[in-house]
Amino acid sequence: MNHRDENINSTESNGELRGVHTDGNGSPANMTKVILRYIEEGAFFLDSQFNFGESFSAALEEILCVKELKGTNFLSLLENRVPEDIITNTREFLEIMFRPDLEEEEIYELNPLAETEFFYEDEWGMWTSSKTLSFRFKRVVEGGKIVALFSTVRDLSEERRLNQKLKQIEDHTQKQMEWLVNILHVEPDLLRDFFVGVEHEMENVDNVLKNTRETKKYFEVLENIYRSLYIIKGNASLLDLKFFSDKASHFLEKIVKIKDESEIDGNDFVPIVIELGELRSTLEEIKTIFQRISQFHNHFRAKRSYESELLVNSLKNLTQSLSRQLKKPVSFDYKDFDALSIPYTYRQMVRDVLFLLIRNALLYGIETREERRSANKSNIATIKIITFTDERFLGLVLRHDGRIERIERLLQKMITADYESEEERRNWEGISVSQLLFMPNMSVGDEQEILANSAMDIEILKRKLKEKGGRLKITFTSEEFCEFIVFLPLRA
Amino acid sequence: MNETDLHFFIDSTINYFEEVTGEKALTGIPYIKGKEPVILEYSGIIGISGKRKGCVYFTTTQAMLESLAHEILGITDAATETVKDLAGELANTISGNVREAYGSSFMISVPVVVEGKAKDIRLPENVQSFVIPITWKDFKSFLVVCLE
Repeated sequence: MNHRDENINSTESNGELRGVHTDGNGSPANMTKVILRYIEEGAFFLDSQFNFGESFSAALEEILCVKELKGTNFLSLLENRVPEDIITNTREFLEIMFRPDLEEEEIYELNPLAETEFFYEDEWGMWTSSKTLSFRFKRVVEGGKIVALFSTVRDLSEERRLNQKLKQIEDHTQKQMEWLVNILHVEPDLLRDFFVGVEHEMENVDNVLKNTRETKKYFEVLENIYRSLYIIKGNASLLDLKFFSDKASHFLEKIVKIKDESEIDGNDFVPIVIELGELRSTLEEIKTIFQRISQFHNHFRAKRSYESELLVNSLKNLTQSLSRQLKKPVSFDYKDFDALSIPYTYRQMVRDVLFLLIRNALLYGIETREERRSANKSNIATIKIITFTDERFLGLVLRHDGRIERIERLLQKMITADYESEEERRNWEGISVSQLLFMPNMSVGDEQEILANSAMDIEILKRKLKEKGGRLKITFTSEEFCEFIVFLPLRA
Repeated sequence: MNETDLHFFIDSTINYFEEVTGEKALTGIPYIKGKEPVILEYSGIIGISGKRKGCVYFTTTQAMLESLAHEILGITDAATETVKDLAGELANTISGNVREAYGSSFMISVPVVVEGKAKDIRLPENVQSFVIPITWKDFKSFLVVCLE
């Protein structure tokens, strides 16, 4: 037992605590104990070996969540509860506190425990909870000698938790405001469909990542992920969700970079899985924002006819926006498109299919103004969409009066190509023009990128239709028009 | 959690196998852990706290640990305790590397070894966990990293 501590009472004068010795029966020592029993802060004395004295406040054990403090070494108490560097700094600080040649005020700022997080282990030895504690130390001087340190400790956990939450909100507010502004123009139902679509694609990416075991399939995995991201990006662009399409673009760039490598292993997928995590977090945040505003929107829930109008409008917007970007004037004809005939379960699917076909038509089918002029065609191209139904199918038609550039080029290749072998020549001759449309990543010379992207659209379309048991029919002439007919089964 | 963090944990694990057995382990495709448990017969768990908080565990099969015992100790019929010790040593090596790299402002726990297929390992909530399949000599195991 440390008599020195037991017999210390203290009064403060000039910022310094002066110890008051008693013989153990005097009232000042008893008074100290009484005070310590009732104060709500943690308070204790440390001797020059940094051990707890006998007297400490009743609240201390509760604040520190530690029992039997008497005689415990303060630095041992810190072990496994605060990081090592803080323990080292605390040791140095306490040693300095006992050095009479240094002014207390000068070293006060060195206190490493002025605010620190205390971690607590669970039964597994894992730190599952923590408290933010603030320790203050004062010298206890007796007869001109520093005989002990008096310390107070406060639990700032709740205060810090609120501060952190506030900071998080502040950090997020600007970003969330931007997102909010970005999604406000989008109709809630379209946004809901968008979320469903993104989740579906992300689930696909998850499954592909989880279930691929064979190393040789890694490039296939990349292709698959690329397609999903491509759809996500497309859908985000369709709704003009720029921040989301930018994120998806960034993701796609990373995939392309990996695809360019000659050999890949599991490590190469690390950036992908990190990006996926970020995209998922973003999606969750937007969904939270959306949920907040959707209560408001629910009061003004749109009628089905209005929702159908939205579908047409979004396709019209896409056509106009791409037409402007590509400088290819287009007239969008939708008078035979009855959005009301599309079952609710197919709405997202129809949007995705038509999005791909419109995009494909404008990018790769419809000619530039100059090309159309020289081909004696009207300056303004036409894209027409039609719906029809029978008992078994919902039919979608997209017809445009451009040519199918890709087919032309591939036909050209068939005619002029310098085949490497007789086998290759036979293979080419056996391919029908329709088949050429569906060959992934088939490319010719410097048009490689354009064709690869076009093939990507068709690949995605194929996959989407396969998922729903749908099929695709194509009618075309190389110069006059091209017509895509999609059949979607009405009964699964 | 960023790419560097994840690469660091993967490299620490892969290097262990190469250094101890001379045979390289292969990294599979990482993925984000969902609700389904990722746990095999033996798991070495390390807690991380301080500037950043989280948890890392390596979970593997008895067969792999027995083969590892054969490689390191030259024994063919490893006792349960030996197998368990190896799971601890593996986690300890990862833990040591993490401690060395992350410095003294991080707290790295002594590894806890869990034997048997528990329901799952409890990981911090609201923090994404990444699963990295590791294959050594055809034995599968998983490294799970959850760091805020």
